[in-house]
Amino acid sequence: MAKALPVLGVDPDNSIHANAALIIPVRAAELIAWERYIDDPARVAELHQMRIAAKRLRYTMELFAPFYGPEFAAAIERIKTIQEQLGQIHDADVLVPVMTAQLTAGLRTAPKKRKPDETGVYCADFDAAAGLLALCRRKRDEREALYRKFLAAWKKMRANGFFESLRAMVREASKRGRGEGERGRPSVRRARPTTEGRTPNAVPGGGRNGKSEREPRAAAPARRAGGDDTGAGSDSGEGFEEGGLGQHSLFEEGDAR
Amino acid sequence: MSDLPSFREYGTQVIRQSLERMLSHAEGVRAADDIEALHDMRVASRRLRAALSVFAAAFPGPEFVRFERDVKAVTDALGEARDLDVMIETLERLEESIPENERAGMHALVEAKRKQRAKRQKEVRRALNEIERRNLRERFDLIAALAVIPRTEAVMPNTPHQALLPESETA
Repeated sequence: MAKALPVLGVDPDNSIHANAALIIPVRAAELIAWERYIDDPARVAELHQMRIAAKRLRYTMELFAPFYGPEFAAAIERIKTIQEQLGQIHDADVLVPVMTAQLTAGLRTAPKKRKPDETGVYCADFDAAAGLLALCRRKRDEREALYRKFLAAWKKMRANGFFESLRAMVREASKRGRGEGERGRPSVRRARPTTEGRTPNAVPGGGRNGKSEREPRAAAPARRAGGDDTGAGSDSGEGFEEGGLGQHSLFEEGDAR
Repeated sequence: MSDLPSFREYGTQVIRQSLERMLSHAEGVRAADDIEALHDMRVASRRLRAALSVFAAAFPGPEFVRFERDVKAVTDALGEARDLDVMIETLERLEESIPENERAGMHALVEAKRKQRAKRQKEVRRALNEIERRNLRERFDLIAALAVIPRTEAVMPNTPHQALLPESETA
């Protein structure tokens, strides 16, 4: 399994939004890195890796979800759909070889291994073989349909500028110090006083006041993290400066199913 | 605004929560009468690992790396059992969907996978014992406590982490 890439520039004394703006684009780039393989439905291993990358991005985003608004939650749902489609594809890819092995084992029984009554036209259980064969074919057909659905959903996301909007969303939230559309307090409480002894200068109040001096530092590693760490994704046309906030509503669009 | 936790505070909180959630399924996994317990524990371990990866910068030091490795061991130990659970469930469903006279091959396959899964349970139980032995809760409490001390003070000749590790690792 491909390991998660390290994210450069994360500073525990920085705000949650500033760090999320570094981490989420790297996890997104790890997912996008597998895009080059998806036009070939036989890239079983790569589609599986892509599923793992999607899961990682989703879990990472879910950790930050309390600090962002509904657009962010909608984006998570889109990633989840992709991940589930890839999951079903993978399940079929695992299942069919297992059934095929059973099928061939049933047909290839060596004469010595046969029971006394497994002889002549009764040398193999053709009905059992027919059942296995029918299921293999059915699963293959289902997998092909799933793959087409996945491909269409992915291409639609890309056409809608999904990842560009996601990056813009976390970048803007990092500048503002909180997620767009976030109303009131996030559903997280401050940690217990034991960790407060140090009064981290990253508490968002401080983040806002110290914004002008902190920001360049937060932004520079973002580009480095994208450039150094995501070599695999860099040639898929992913620039960290693309996209605009106006595209956010695209997350709501269309159906993935 | 000022009620937002710091990155480290939030990380500590989320890691503790995810760890508790993961450990809460241990008894169900041991009992093995519901495949969802194992699935839930494995998913919780993955979420915990996502959190560890996100907040790693807030917890510098080798003990955090060791902790991460131990959590990964949980995911790995449950992987094969989960794959078998999923496969058995699917195979059973598929077997039901074909004519009765064609089911013998599928039936044999289901039986073989069930046997494999039963055998696997011993490994699962061993992994659960190992997790208990590794004091994950206490070790993370210590990691979190040391993370808020300025780094120069946190370096000690004999770190107290050692006392919480199984003997085999303290050599």
